[in-house]
Amino acid sequence: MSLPPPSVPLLLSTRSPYALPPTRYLIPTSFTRFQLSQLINTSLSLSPPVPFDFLVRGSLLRGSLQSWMTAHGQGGEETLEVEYVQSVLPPRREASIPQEDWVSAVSLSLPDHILSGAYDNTVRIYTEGQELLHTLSSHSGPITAVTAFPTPAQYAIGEGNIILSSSQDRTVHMHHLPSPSLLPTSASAADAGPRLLTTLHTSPAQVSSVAPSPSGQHIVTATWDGLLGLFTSTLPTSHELPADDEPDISRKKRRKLAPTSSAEETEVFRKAPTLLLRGHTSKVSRAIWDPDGLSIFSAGWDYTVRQWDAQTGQQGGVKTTPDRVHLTIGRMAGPAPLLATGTSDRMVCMFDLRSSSSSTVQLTLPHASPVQSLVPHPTASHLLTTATLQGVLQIWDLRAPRESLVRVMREGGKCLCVDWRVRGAGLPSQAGEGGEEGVWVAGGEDRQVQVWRTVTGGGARVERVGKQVVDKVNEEDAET
Amino acid sequence: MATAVARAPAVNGTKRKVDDLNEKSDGTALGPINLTLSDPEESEGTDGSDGEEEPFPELDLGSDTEEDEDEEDEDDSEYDVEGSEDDEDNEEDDEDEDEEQTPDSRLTRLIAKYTEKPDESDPSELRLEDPRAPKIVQSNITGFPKKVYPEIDPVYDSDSSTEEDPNRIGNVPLHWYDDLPHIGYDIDGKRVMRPAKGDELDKFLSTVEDPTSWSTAVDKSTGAQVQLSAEELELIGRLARAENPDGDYDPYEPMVEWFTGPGKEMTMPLTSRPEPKSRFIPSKWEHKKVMKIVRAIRQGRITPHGKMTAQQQPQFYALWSTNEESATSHRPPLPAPKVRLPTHSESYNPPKEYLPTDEEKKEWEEMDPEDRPENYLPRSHDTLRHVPAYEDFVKERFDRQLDLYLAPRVRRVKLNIDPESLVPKLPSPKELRPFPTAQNVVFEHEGKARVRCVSWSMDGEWVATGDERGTVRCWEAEVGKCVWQGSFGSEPVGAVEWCPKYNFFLIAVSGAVHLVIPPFLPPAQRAAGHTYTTTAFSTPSAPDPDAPKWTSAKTPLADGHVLSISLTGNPKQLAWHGKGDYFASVAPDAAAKAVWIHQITKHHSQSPFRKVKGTVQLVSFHPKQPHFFVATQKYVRHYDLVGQKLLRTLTPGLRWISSLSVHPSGEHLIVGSYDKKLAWFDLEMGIRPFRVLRYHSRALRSVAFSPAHPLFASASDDGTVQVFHATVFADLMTDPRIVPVKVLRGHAVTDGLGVLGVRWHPRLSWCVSVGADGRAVLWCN
Repeated sequence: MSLPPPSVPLLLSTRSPYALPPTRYLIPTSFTRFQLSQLINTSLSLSPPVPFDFLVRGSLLRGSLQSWMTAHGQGGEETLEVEYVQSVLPPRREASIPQEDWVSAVSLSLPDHILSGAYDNTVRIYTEGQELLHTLSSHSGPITAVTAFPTPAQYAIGEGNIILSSSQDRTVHMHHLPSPSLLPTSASAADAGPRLLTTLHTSPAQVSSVAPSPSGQHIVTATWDGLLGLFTSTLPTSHELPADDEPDISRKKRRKLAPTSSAEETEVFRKAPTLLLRGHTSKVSRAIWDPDGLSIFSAGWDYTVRQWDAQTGQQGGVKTTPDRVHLTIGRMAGPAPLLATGTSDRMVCMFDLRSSSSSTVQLTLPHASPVQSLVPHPTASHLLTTATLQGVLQIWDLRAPRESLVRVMREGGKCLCVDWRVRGAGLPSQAGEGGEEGVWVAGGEDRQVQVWRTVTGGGARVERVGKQVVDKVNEEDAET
Repeated sequence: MATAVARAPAVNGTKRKVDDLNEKSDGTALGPINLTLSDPEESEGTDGSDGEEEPFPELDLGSDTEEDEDEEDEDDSEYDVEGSEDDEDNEEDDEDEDEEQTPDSRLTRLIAKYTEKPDESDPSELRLEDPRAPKIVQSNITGFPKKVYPEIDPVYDSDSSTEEDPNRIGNVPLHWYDDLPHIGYDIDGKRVMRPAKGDELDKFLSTVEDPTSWSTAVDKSTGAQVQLSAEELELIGRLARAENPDGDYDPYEPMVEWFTGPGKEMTMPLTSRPEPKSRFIPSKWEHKKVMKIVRAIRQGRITPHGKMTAQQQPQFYALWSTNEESATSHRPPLPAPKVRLPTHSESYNPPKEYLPTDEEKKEWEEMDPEDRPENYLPRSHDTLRHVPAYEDFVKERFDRQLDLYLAPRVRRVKLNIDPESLVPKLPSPKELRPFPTAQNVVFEHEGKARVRCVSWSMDGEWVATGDERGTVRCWEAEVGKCVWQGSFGSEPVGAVEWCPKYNFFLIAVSGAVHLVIPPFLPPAQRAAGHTYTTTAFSTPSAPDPDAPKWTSAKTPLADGHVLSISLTGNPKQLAWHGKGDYFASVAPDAAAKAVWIHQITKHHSQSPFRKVKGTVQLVSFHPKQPHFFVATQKYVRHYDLVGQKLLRTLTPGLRWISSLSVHPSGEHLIVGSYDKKLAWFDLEMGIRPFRVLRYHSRALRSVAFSPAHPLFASASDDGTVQVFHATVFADLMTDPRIVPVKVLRGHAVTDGLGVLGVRWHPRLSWCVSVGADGRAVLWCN
């Protein structure tokens, strides 16, 4: 006689619409994720099948149940509470948009568009179909950040979007991009194109990032000499600060480079910051807004992460991590003020600003090289994507911090910037309703903006990204 | 006590039983005896045990004479049992009395008892009938009476002086004869009749009438009343009083005063010698003896209080223990050398190649036995069974014994030193963080030209590198993007040095030093640098024909090229002073004009040395004082620029100095050499290196102290950069602590050249290294 295979009682629960009756199931321990997913699909008789991932006690199930139990020293007696989440298929590479030089900034903040900034001092605007719309070449230095927000109504220049681009030429340029629907079809290229509204001057040093507040009323910039500039987004009516005196050579050169644009344009006023936030002792890598618009978070090369009050400019809290240079910062979605920073010592560090101690790193995600760019998921509070100098793009789930969910190696060397977007992310009420796609873009040394689609399976909304690329594809084939 | 008393009559050799005396003296006024024997029943009860356990007579015998002992010995056998016999006797007597017999029989017995009264009361008379007494018979020859002694049967105890007893029944209980008229037989076999014995009334009457009746006792062997003599009574009395039985003993003899008393006083000392010194000093021998004990106590051989515990502990030792030290105090015997193990040729059936040929055999046999390499000839046997007895067995054993006996042996003790304990205690590298550990950014040069030199900008944002094809590149350090490049001829770039005060840098190429303000900088920084470097053009100084010429770059070689300084020779090194105004250039091939010190603000150059001994390799400014270091091939000279004098010449003991770096404090100096060594100088300590480290496997190319962290790095042709943590203590007494923390591997060795330069970030613990493989690598913590 043969013994029955060893089994373990499971309590399967979910927050997705695919709920099973809350009963205890006796599952053979040799079951893997795929078999468990098949089990749910057959019991719910889903067609087409929906792949699921399984969270056992806060960590993703990678191998069989038996291997999980062995790793965690668990016997087969206790009931395991397993949450299953709808897993998402690996991103599918869609296109590569060639650029003139290294891509230093990408943004998906303009709906249905892709913004890119490069070392050739230009900002380019693409449609989601990779069609080049506009090229903004007003900067005289490499672009460090680019972003967009809807044009405030008080500008009285019509509907559209404001595109902010920061550059190493120590300025932030603010362009107005009119909405295409408002444009007359026969309008000339000059009218349809974006118009430079104003330039924001923070300090004599290079600007490393720019970010508009969620309401669009304020803009914060970060500079290489450790300052944060807080601007209102009103348009200046006159020069708020005098022009820099430049040496002859560069002035000559600039005149030579762009003689037409300066002559043609109406005068662009220089704008000064309303507040300078002093505190960092070295280069500030990035400054971001809290979603409530009340706080600013910044991280710098002086090993600190700081919080600022956006109204008063007072410094709220400092987290110091000795000998850890922060290269970028992002705020995780959700109510908890959880910050993630990418560091030069090959980590992603998570900070909880509510904790009292000054240097508490809550969690670290190990990387193989410096994390140059990091973007949290717009809605899911446990997902973030990172780009490293080795050219590796990863998607991490904080619940499984040892290994990334998705790892994509770019061929072209260093990856300097990444961004992602989920359609409908700005509308939380639609969460859970399927049929949408995610976009994932990255740029770097290979002079390309690469675009991926995170394809959903079975019409469900992109919520979580699943397993490693290869085995996921194989399993998907098997399931369908 | 009864037995003790009973022994007493033995002194006289007469066998009298004092128990009978007891019986007789019941209730009479015999003081002393009555006192001791007042309760015969009680004493009888204890007799059985006491009589044997308390051998008083033996103690008493000690004081007796030898004659007495003889008699006693013979009597012992009788007396030992006598006590118990008497008891039985008495009881039986009582029984007899209690038992009501017929009056007739009793009467006849009594009559029988008392009809004959033998005249044996006098013991002296008994002696007349001694069988050994001579008989007087008529001589047949002479006719005169003569004494004829009886024949003596020479058997054991034939000569017995105790054979005086008239009653010869032997040692049998007397009550056997109770019903008989006689009490035994004499030596001739005639009956010894029972002496007459009165009844109770007679006894009573005799006690009343006869004043001596209290001093009579019954002789058991004869059954007669015996009158005790005065001496015997006195003896009994003394025994009863527990006195010395000897009547002549006087316990209170007067003391004879032999030495004291009047007339015997000593008026003079015995000698007139003065007291010897030894009486006043502690005894040496006593001291030795005491010290011996003290030593024994110290060594633990005497344990004053631990005796009991030592006895309680089990006494054993490890019989097979190999730890010789613990067991005994004396030295263990030397182990015998091991016997050599047999080899292949000693096998009973060795392989063919071991078997000697006939010639070899012959040669071996002709050799002197002393000279033979082996003392045997290999022989082959088919089976082990055919192997004959070993003919040299006894000889070999004997030689071995001789060796063991005669050959001196030495005990070799292995030094039991843990090699780990000899290594100095260094902190773990983990405690010394931060230091660069990983290759973060790689700056790839096109065409794989060897990158010779590297420099950080003052703010740590940019890195400038120069390669062997005359190209200089600037990189954004964070991401490794080349932001500027310029070509300055086809000769190798000797040095690139960023100014520590303004954001511009100098490039040393063959015959010139070029100054470049890179265009990627913010305009304000560029303007400041431009003003700083070019204002001196407006005030031209008096032209010196020998001095290098400062010329503005009318036709710039590259974007940002501002001015050039023409130099003779091929400058290999540039060194900035910390304030950013002066810099020094070294062109080793320019002989006497090798070293120039240039001033940016005045566009002035001067040669500090009129004549230079040796080829100058490197120079360096002191970071805090107006001092100047000049390294030639073998020496480092330390000059005072203000006093214009040589302070000292450091002798590293290296063959060819390749690199030099001054500690930010200015008190320490490291020198790297092409002979793979690194010398650390403490300038306070003298001209010899404090430490010479040799850890690279190939020549050192570059050494550098970190300006912000206690770190230094050395780059070598073996393709590695080694990072050290070097703590310099403010305390002058503590030596610098140098701990190797990391070996950075990442550069490939091409054409025998590895890493050519290493420089530290001005603020962070990062360093950048350039190599012959055409790469510059940023190492981060």
